[in-house]
Amino acid sequence: MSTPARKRLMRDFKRLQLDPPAGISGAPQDNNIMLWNAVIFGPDDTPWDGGTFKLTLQFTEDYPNKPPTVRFVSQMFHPNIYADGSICLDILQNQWSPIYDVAAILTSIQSLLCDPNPNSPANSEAARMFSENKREYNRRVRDIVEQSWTAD
Amino acid sequence: MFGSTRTALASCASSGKVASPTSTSSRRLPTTLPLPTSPRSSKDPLISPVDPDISLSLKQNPASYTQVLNASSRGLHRMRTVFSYLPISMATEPAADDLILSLLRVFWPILEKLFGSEHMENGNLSVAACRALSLAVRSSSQHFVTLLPKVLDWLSKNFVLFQSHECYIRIASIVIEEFGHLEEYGPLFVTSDDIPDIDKKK
Repeated sequence: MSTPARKRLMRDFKRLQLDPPAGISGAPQDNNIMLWNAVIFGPDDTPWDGGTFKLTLQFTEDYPNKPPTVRFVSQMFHPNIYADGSICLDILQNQWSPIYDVAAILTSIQSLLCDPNPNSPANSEAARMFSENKREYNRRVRDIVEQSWTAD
Repeated sequence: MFGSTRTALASCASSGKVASPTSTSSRRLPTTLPLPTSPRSSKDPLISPVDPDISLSLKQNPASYTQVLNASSRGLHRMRTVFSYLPISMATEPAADDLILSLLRVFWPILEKLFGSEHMENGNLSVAACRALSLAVRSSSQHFVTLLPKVLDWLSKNFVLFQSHECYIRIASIVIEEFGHLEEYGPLFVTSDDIPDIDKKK
């Protein structure tokens, strides 16, 4: 069945294939256009460098009028990422707009890695550490980078 | 793309979630870096994209093809990280030279096969391959000299084929930094001083 949501997702996928933003990649799971797997590579010259972080994006038929549910599968340590991998990001909530596509979502999340908002914590330990002990915070980030190497 | 220029802001104002601390254990790489295993079958992510038969069937399934490209890119990122630790290892391990040579003997054939494949059309895969090679060049230094002719050949070919991929220019600059001083390769690298000044001829 071809619905507006599915047509839009097919367009998002083709666009992502033809012109993928640096450091992100994503595709629907087999036989299910509504559920995607994605990978975000940690930005260069940051503590996240070298990390390969997996995510899932669950869409509904309300897309693009409603955002997908996005969640990290990889273990993360970040002020705005919950223990269960869900992400506290405005464009995935009240600031969502139908003009965003999958590439925009993933790029925004990639940017969030290095530009957290400690005032709106999803992980209080990470938020406190980011503000008060940057050295330790960076060390913890590098730990999860190493974990992302072996997690499959 | 609007999303790529907008500053992403995190906000939990409307969220009913209660944040809980994430606890992660500390892990360090061993002092002696593990050698990567050689490809054992055509299903290995780093090899399957360049197997013609598998390649054809994968391209007919875009979702699977993307997943394989992801796996290949991730593998190359990991190799890059292994090479980034070599300078640390060299400071403490007498056998570091042997380690470097072993890594290169395994790594380069895989990479060469990738560079020769049509899948380098994918920007992410090209970037991952070039970054891994960049660190291999930097960390292995003189050990890389014997591979240099092949590397330069592939970089030139792929730059012509995929001109939108700037990663080939970046790695070319790194090769120049590392080997431009060698008499053997000096003539290959033209500096701005060697370029005739057009204004002076007018």
